Amino acid sequence: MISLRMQVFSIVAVVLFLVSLVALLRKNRLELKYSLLWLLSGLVMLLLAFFPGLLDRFAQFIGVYSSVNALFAVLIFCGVLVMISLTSIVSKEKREIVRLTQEMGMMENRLRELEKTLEELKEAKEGV
Amino acid sequence: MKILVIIPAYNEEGNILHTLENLHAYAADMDALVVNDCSTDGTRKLLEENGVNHLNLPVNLGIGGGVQAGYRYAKKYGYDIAVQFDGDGQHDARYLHDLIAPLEKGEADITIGSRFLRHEGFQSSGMRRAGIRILHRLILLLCGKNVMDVTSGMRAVNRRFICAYAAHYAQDYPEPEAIMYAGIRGAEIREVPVVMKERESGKSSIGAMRSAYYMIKVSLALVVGRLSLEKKEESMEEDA
Repeated sequence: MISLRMQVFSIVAVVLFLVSLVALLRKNRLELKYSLLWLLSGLVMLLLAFFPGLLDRFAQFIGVYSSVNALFAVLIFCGVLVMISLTSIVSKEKREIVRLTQEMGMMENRLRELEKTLEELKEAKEGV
Repeated sequence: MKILVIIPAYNEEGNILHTLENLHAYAADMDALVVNDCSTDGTRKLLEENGVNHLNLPVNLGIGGGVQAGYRYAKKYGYDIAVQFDGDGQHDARYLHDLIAPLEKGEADITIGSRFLRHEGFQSSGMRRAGIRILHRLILLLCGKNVMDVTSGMRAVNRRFICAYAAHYAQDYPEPEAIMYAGIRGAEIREVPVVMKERESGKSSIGAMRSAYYMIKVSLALVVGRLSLEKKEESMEEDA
């Protein structure tokens, strides 16, 4: 069972978490796409904080004796999900950086070629 | 036929001009492109002063990303054959015409310069050879292609695989993966005997301590690459 004191603290903590998340989103410091998982896990936590009975039943269902341990399991699971999604985002960004770097290298090469041609044209003109 | 020689170079100021002279002596009919992978030594200055055609990458990408930049260049400028050739003095340009001959005749899609067909020249250490043998078996198992020198960086590909590699090329230790990638897409791969030298100066990109990491990473990458859901025909999308 979860004590009333613990329930109050959980609600306060989760609300603080959600408020700071929304504040960051409003200031455009977080991309909504990447914070969906955080929002989702925040809502799950809020639900559990308001209705601890759900947590008890969930703990029973997965065969964990203490509801608090079940809570830890849920939180760790959410954390791992977020980390996997971060790794996937980093991998995608790496691919994009590689592509951009290669394109930039080719652009710079083209620019140098054009400068050379321009230089030659100028010299030819002055020669005449 | 338009032929491009891609020379990846990272801090190769001691070797790069020898490499280019060697190329000029034996393969003057091929265009050279040095990919300067954000070198921190005088490589860039040397290339500029000598009027060498080169790409300067603003960020260090490693050998995979560097070589791929070369393939993208070859694709963009309509080359029929692209050759990979190390800038560190290990490769000898006198074998380049043998290397591309099967591609010119249309007998193969990819050719690989192999140290182990005639067992001449620098053969690498016993440990490395053992590692290469393991990767050779793994590639044979995964895609049925029998390539002895799977880590050789001296290779040539035709237009079809220039486009394939421009779209997708492994990043960290790309040589064995590139063979398998082409293998599962039905490439005709042929090995051509070549003689390689030891590096002239500077350090190899793979130190002794990293060999274990190399083996694990490459083996895993080969298996994952075989399981990859990405569609097996190469993407021919044209880039803007």
